Amino acid sequence: MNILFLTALKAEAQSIISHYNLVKNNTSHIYSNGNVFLFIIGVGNKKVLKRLKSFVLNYNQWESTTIINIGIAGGNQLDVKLGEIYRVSSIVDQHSGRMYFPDILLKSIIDESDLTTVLKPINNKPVTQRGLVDMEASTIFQFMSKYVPPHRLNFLKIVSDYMDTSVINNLKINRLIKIQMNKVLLFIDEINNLELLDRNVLDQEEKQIIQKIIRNLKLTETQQYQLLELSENRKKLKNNLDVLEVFFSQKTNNKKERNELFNAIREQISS
Amino acid sequence: MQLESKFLPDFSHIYIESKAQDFDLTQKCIKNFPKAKIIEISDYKSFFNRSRQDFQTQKQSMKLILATKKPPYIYKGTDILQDGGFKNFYYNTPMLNCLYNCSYCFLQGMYSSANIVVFVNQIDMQDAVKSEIVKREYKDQPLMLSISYNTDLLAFENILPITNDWIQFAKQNLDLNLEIRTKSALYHSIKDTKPSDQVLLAWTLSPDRVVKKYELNTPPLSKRISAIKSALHDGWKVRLCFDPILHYDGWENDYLELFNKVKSNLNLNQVFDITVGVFRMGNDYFNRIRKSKPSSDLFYENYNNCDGKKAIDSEKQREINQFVSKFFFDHFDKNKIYFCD
Repeated sequence: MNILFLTALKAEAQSIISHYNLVKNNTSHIYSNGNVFLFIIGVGNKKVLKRLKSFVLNYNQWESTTIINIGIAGGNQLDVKLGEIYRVSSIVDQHSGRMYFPDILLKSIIDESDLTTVLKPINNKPVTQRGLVDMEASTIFQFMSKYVPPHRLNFLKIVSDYMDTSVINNLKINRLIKIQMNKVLLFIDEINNLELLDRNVLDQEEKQIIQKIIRNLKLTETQQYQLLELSENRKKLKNNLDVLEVFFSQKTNNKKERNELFNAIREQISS
Repeated sequence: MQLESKFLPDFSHIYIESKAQDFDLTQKCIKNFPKAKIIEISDYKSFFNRSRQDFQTQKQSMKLILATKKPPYIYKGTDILQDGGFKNFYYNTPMLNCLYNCSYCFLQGMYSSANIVVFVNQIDMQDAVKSEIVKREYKDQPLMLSISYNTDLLAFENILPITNDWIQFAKQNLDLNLEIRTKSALYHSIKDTKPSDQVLLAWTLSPDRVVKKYELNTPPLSKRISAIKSALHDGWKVRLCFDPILHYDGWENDYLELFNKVKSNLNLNQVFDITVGVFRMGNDYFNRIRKSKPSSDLFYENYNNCDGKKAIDSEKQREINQFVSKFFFDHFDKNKIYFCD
C-alpha cells in the first residue's frame, strides 16, 4: 500500500519527512521514499487546488494509494483538546455548505471529530463554531475523491488553538506534529489493510501480456475491451491464461487477419 | 482462535438527516446503538450517493442512514420482480440495502453505497399506499405490495420493528396485501403478531452449498426452514421462493437435497405458493458490479444478453424449470408454482 501525505505547510511535513527519510524530487516537488509519498499543498482553497492539479500530473499509483491529510486545526474547546490529534469524520465546506464524508471503516485509537473548512482563519473564538476548523480539507476531499475512494481518504488534525491563530508559529506546529507522530504511525498500521485496495482479477504480468497481444494484433477498442473481459472470465473460472500463450508472438498485417485471429482467441479463451 | 476484526462493527456511525431527527424510528435507533457516533447531515444523498464508493468494502462495516423519503413513495412492479399472479403489483422502499450480502443480489449494482438507509417517515409511505389502493387498476383484486424488495425487512426487525408496523397497517386496509420476502430466521420477532391472510411471508431457500458460497451473512437453510415451520404452524400464508436457482456443476444434487428437506420438514399442503427463478439481472446493474471486480465467480460466467437483461441461457433455464416441475408437480398444485420468464 502507498501512503500519500498531504500537508498544507512545510512545518507540518517536517516530522514526517524526517521519520521516513523522504527525499524531494525537485521537478515534481514530491517527497518520497519507497511507498511513502508527501506533497505540500499550501494554504487556502485556490492554492490547494492548483497544487493538487500539478500533483496528479506526476503521480499515477492510485489503485494502491491511501491519502492522509495531516495538519493543524483550530477547535472549539467544548469539543476538542489542545494538542490532541483527531480523525475527521465529516467535513463541511463553510463557503458552499457542501458536506464531504470519508468512509470510517477501520478501528482506530484516534478519536473522531467533525470539521469545517473555512476561507479565512478564524480568530475571534466563536462559540457557535463547533468541532475543528481548517482551510483545506474540503478542497482535498472534493478533488482527490476523483482518484481514490472515500475509504482511502483520511484527515488527521492536531488542535493548535481554540480559534485564535495569533498563538501559532512554525516552531509550535512542528512540535505539535512531532508529539503526535507515534499516534500517526499507529494509525498507519491500522489502515494498512489490503482489503481497502482496489480489487483486481488480473495481475500486473497478465495485464502486460494482454497489452502485448493488443499491440501486436492492433485490436480495435471494442476488441480490446472484449479481450480484457474474456481474460478476466478465464482467470476467474479456470485460474490461468495459458490459452493465450500461442498468441503472444503473432502479428497481423491487415483487418481481415486481425479479425480472424481475434475470433480464434475468443474461441480459445471461452472454451 | 478467531482474530478480532480490524473493521468497525456495523452501524458504528449513524448519519441522520436534520429533518429525520424527531421521528420515533430515529429515536429508537439512537437508543439501540448508544455507542454510535451520530453525524447530522442535510440530505442523505450527500452521503449515500458519493462518487467512487466501493460497495463490497463498505459491506465490511456498514453505516446506518436515517432519512425522510420524498415522493414517489410507491412503484409499479418490474418484470424482474415476480408478481406471483397478482395483477395490482407494486413495491415500495421502507429501507434501502440489506444486512446480508448475497453475491447475486442486484442491490450492489443498483446503489453505489452498501450503507443502509431507513426512511423514518413510514407514515408518508403508508398514506401513498392508501391513495394507490383507491386508484388501483383491477378493483376486484387487492393491491399487492412488496415491502422487502430493496432490502430484507424482517432481518432488520430486531433493530427496528418496521415489518410489524406494515402488517398492522395492512390489517387496517383490507384491500392491501403484503409480500414480505426474506432469508431471515427472525420469524420470532413477529411471532406475537396475529397472522393475517393479507400477508404473504416469502422465504427464499437455497441449498447449504449456495448459502455458504453465495449468501454471505444469511442464516443457514435449517434455520430458515424452522422459521417457516413456525410461521405455517401459527397460520401465516407462506410462499417458498427458489430464486435464483443457480446452475453449476452438481446443482441437481444440491437442489434435490434442498427440495427433499423442504418436503420432509414442511407440510406442503399449507404452503401458499412457490416461485422459481434463475440468475438474471439488468445489464446496467450487472455491468456496474462487474466493473467493481467482485470476488464472486457469478459475474465472470457467460450469460445470454436479451431485452436489456443478463440471464443464463434458455436451455439451462428449461432444464431448471423441468427439474423443479418434476419434483414438485407430484407434491404440489402445479397451478401454484410460478416460473419467472
